[in-house]
Amino acid sequence: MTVGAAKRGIETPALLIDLDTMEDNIEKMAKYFSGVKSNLRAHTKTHKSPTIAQRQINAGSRGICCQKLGEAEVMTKYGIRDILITSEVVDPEKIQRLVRLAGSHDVKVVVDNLKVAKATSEAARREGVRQGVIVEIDVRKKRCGVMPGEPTVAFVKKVMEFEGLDFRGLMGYEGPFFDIPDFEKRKAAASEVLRSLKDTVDMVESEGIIVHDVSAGSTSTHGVAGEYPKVTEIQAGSYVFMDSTYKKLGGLDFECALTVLATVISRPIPERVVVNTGWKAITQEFGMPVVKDHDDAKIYHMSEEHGMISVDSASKIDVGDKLELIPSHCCTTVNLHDQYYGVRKDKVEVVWPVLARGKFQ
Amino acid sequence: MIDQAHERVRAIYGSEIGCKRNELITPALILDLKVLRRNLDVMAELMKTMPAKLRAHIKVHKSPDIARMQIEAGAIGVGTATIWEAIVMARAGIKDVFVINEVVGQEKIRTAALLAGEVPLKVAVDDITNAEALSEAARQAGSQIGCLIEVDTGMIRCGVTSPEQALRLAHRISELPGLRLEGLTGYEGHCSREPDKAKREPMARKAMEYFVSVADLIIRNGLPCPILSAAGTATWEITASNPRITEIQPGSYATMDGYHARMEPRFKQAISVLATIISRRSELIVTDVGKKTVGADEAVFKDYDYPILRYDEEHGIHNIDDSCRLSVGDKTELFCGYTPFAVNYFDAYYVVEGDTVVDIWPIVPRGPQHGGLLNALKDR
Repeated sequence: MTVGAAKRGIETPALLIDLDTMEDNIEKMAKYFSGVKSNLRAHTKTHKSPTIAQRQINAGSRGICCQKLGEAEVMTKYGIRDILITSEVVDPEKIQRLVRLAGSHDVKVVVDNLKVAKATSEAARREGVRQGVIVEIDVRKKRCGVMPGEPTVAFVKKVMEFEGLDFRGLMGYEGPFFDIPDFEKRKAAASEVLRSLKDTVDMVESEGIIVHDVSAGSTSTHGVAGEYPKVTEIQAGSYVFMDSTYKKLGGLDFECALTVLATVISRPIPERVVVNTGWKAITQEFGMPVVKDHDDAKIYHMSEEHGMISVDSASKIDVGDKLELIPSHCCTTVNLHDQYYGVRKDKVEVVWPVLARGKFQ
Repeated sequence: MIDQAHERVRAIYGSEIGCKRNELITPALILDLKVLRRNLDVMAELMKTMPAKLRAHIKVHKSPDIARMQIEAGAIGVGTATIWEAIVMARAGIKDVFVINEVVGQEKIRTAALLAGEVPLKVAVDDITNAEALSEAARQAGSQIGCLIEVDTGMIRCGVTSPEQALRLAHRISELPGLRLEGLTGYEGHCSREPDKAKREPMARKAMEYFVSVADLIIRNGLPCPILSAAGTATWEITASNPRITEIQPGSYATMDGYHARMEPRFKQAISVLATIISRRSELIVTDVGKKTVGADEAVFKDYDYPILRYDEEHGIHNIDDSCRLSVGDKTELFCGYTPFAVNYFDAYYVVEGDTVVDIWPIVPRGPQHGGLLNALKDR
């Protein structure tokens, strides 16, 4: 696909970015953070692209988050220096890779286990570096993290005893509250969770420990966590692309920039068209994708390489036509593709690789 | 193309050849050769008494290496879901490639026509305009494309929806230059969603009765219909027993997954994902394998019975009890809910014999990217 070609000429299934919309989203988020005390730390698990990460940084993001060490390695190769890895790195081999990165970059990692903290400290000492660590607190989810309150205080104190570790702060992810579309209600729910984060920060600080960073938030709660006392940075990611799930949430002023271009391969009966795009090209765990610009067209089932769409029997959609599908989950859809076609006014302007795709090791 | 793919993944993951399967960097996609070979042998043995032949669907594993093993074990050819997969299979030296799907769009049709000049390629067709476009492309390329009319046997996806429609399309295909009417394809996919064998078998039988009646109409009208292709792993046996069906097109039997294991216990799971425990507390355990690694169909522990609490993008969260001896840093294998989903996220398999990694095999084409088809065709 040559840059400058028409969008409709792109072979399908293909991942498209509407560049105008994405740029608007980045700008809107930057504008929000210019008016509050906290900073954005864009979560790049959404796009896995150093190019887009750099645009977010240029627009004021203080650094980025990566979900995986492999993703962080890709980002550092492209000149990004300030990275928080938001899931625990526990393998000895991976810890070694981590501290090697920390020698030349400001790479921080979350910890919730003393055995891992000790192994990280030993690796950092061997490497002659200080590894930045953020203690993960499980403020909402049953997932990773130390319990808030006293257990965190005790854990932080022990972490601070390890040579080679540089305690930087706390992380507590309160989002995303997809089940609460109303912003005020979501704000109330998020605030309640954030209170346990703030209280824990207070408790740690009352021990005379300096907590530089308090990292929280997501796209759906950035307007809450971004103004919550003690929170210093927000890990929003999906705002850059949005999807049909996020679009159902109130209080978010972003538009869908990401679509998957599909070709109609069959119209067996007037009421059904079938596209060559199934869940090997667009994910469905948050529901069916939405067909853009065709209100009558509803995707009702997908298999691996097929999407079944009900249409009005008078619909003009024909075999060979191309349709754009808006994903219900942008992050997992991107993860299926190797490249983006950046489109402006129906012309391909750029082709960007999804460089950190598959870098989950 | 295939050699390059091997070189590429060996350069990335090859340092782990010789490692133990439970010591790999995670998440790691593991292919157990012994189990795979056993599945292929079991199928070969069972197919001996069947009137139909086996065509192995490779969308499950996307591996040229496994496809070659399937051919060696008696498959007459392969089925693919996309033209891109068909290029890979042709480059892997497989002579009989059937894209069991409609090939639509200028570039894809042109690719199919060019590929048909190299191998006897077959595609599924359910639309006259599409058939005409394929014919035109084949004429330009000087090739001939084999066409199997897709018949909807109850799945409600693609395919003609009446015998008369099939006949009209058959007439048109038989008069179009560059096309060769080869028969019908009619995967009874709706039956694969029925877990109860007692219900599934009559459903499949009924679907095939209809399928055969469509073939009979075409034959009565003096047109050729040598191939009748259908079935998946959940229905392979009942459909292969039908003396009118000439070939079955299952894929999952080779590597299996949780979904198919419930329906077809004679084949065993050959693919697993090695995970690391990254966090633990009294009532739950978290691995580094989430939806971005195995897909929305999730995964279960191979050696333990710890129920799934939730799968996030990069976290698999399972409930445990006090007896659980796994701790942070331990590695353990997971069986996938649906293998085609999981495989599609990885670049390569760690191929193991027993406990040891003996090779790295590429997954090509990984992902949905179909761009650059014509370039791919130039790539030998």
